[in-house]
Amino acid sequence: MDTQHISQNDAVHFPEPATDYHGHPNYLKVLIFLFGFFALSLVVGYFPLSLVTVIVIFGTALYKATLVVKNFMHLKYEPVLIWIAVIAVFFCLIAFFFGVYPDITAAKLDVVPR
Amino acid sequence: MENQRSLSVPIIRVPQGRLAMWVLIAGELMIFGGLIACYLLYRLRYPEWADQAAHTSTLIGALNTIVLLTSSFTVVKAHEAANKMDLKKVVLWLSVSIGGGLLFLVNKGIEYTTEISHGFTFSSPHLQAGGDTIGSLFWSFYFFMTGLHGAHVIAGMVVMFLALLNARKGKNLHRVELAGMYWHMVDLIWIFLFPLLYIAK
Repeated sequence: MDTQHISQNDAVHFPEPATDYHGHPNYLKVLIFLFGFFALSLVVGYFPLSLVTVIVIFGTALYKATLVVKNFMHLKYEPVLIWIAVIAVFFCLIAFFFGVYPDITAAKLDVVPR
Repeated sequence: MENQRSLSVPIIRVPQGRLAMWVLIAGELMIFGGLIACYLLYRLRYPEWADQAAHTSTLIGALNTIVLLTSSFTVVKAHEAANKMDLKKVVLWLSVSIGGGLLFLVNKGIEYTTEISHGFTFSSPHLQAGGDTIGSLFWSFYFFMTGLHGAHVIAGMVVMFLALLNARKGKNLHRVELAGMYWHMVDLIWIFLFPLLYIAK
């Protein structure tokens, strides 16, 4: 299907097996960024563990994940409902984390004696 | 007038396969996210887990990160080639991606062998015998999380192989993208497992 002839106003896309409704970013550039942040987290890992190192290590992990999801998985070209579905997962996980937090960190556990 | 206004908003119909893949990925992220959240909570509760984490191999973990990031790149190149109907390149890039998965598993095998030979297993009996049940719990988490991830690596390789077989015949090229999305999810999970288990010791 020749998508060139579809105007913006009637942009209901019917992807053929070999065509996409989304674009293709510069994947090599994304890979270089991923390697750069990976190297940074690796270097920081050799410093003594502190709040700063933990923030850098997990901050870079979060940024790498964002790069993969947005560019490799093409989330940035998806409609808003897909974004909501993905972001909802993280809200559920945050709710789970803080919901269980007092049970694990404060309560005495019989299963694993200290 | 109202009709004209509604037409001015571009409508993108997400193909069923992609939509289903996003739902699957959201579910998988819940499973691994829950595991990671539990790991974090226990890690906060038991700082002594750091002694056990010191036994994991950062070198092999780093190598596997490079392998997975690179294979994520190659699978997305396969998808790009599929859009151009360049079947030879699709097969080539998918083969490289499957090779990346295989290399990951070989590295993981070497790592597991080393750890198990040192007595670190799912239940680590020697730690339990010494009264270190908390240390033993670390290895239960470690083997469960990495093992489950390894199972997903195998599943991703199978899916990519099936997409490759189709692509060789020029059939169902949209499956290259779907297989790629699954592979990226495997990469995504590793992006969080690596700092948790290998760096933030």
